Amino acid sequence: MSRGIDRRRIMGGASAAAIMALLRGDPAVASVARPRSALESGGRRAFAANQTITALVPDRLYRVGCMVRAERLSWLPGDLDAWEPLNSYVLTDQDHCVFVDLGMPIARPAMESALATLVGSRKVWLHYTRNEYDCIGNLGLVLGTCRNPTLLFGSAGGILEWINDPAVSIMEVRDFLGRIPIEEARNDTARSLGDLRLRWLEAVAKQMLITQWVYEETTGCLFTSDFFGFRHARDDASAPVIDSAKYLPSVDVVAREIVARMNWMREAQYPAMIERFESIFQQLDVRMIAPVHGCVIRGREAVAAHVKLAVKALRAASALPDEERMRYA
Amino acid sequence: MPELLNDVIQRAYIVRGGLPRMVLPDFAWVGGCSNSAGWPGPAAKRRPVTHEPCLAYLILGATRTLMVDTGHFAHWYSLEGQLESVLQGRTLDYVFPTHQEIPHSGNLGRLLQKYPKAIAVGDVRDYHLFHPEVDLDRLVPMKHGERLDLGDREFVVLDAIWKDLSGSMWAYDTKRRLLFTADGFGYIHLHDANVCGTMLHEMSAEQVKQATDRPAMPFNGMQQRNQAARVAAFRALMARYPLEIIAGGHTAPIMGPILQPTIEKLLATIAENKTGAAYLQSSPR
Repeated sequence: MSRGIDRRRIMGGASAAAIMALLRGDPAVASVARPRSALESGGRRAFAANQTITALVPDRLYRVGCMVRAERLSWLPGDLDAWEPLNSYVLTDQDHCVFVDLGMPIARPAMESALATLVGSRKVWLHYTRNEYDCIGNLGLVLGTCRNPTLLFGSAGGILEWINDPAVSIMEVRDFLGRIPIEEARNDTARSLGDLRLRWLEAVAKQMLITQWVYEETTGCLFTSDFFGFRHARDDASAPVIDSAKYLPSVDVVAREIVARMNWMREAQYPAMIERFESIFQQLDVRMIAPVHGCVIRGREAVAAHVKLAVKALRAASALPDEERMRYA
Repeated sequence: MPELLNDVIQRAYIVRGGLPRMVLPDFAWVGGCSNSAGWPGPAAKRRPVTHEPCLAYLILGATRTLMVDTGHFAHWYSLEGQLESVLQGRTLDYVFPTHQEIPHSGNLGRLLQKYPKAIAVGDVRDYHLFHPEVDLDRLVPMKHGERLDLGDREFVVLDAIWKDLSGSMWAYDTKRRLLFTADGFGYIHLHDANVCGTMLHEMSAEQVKQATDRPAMPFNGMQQRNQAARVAAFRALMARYPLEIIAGGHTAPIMGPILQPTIEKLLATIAENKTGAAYLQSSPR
């Protein structure tokens, strides 16, 4: 027994010991479990490396984020030996600054740098693709820091009631709704903000019912929320961008990653979804894919190769066993 | 339709119906409801106005206390006091967020700060990214079948059969034969029904029908999958873990003679692969 938890029924001794050692920060055992762990910073708290702003298209599109060990992440298989980029994005022209997804709180230093260096006197707009922590974790920071921000809203819920706005008390947060301008960004609509050309569409491959993808025409960038995050970084210093169509992971590996997040696909049939998936990439000139986690995929050739791989992996995911069903069989 | 109060119109997350409620001497229901009239976008204009319960639960074990889900972030203004009134000076030992969605885990950082000896248990992946201020040794992973000893009962962590996020877990209280179902068995009720804070067995037959006709089924991909196999899995779960109460994150505790008919009604809906009423969210379409 450990802290009242009876682990004898399920966890093998070695695996349980390794996990608990990681949790306790025991460096000797942790070094056996993984060559570099989230705890290796020496602290008792989560560690993120490489808090950076990466220019994806100079003066137009930036990736803002950090790297974490690909461990204890719900959207990935547990045995991946890699680092995971956590991303949010900023689009700019001379007068406008559009945040697309706001990242997790652990990436706050990178977001603070973006606020300090990319915004300037530009009008700030915010859009998030999903109503979850990885997309709205720093929403309060951005809304509370920028002057007169406007929310481009195409998603769900009383979002403004439950963000953590550093500039107001919790009771005032409950009145936030009336103080932040909201403009609709509905699926199948498009909008120009200065030189930027935004178009919203319902996410094709998704876990949460209300998930949006966003396409920006001048960069050819498709912001894909929690899909297309199947490329990872070798180490914390690796670039968070894949420019090549070479060295692709196998279809089986990608399928396994897809269902780690989108658990409903196992033993499911979704030919119409795959058809729509392919048609979107036929209709749009996508030159870059920008997910909220995993590497950015940049360049027509790299995009085409990864889309082809994704289609095969989506088909393969359907054949994977449904673990929850089998658990109680 | 009666005119809505201004505060109800403006607030997306409300607390009505006398919460917290001590359902049993050792089992409390805390939280509130979301309110469609207060949401941004087209949902605010939708009529009739609907509420979706956003709930959490406290188990007062003989030696340890445990909270299932953290309550909604926006309910904290009320939830903090609700917790104090239920705990009556006891500390909180465990927090079990059923999954990583903010309505179910958004107060985790606040709870771990308020109760410095508490630890989060269950599928605790991702929380170190959401709450980097929390020490990692307070996020303790548990897997399907593992148990916590609360003194007079065990709290068994179970894999969820219907998942919202892939980290979703259910749990079972061995003393009360109580299954916590996360997003499963959630129901939306009408604002005008005035049933916030009311359990199904306390409602009129008409209200029960109205309430259970509106299942909140926030699970993508339901229609792409064979749900009969999952219904069978749920029946197998019930055989292994006999049920007397079901408590979900979006429904008041379901107990007493109404439990079995409610289970059968929902399982029939799922087996027919109907998604039921749309989940209470403003559609971007």
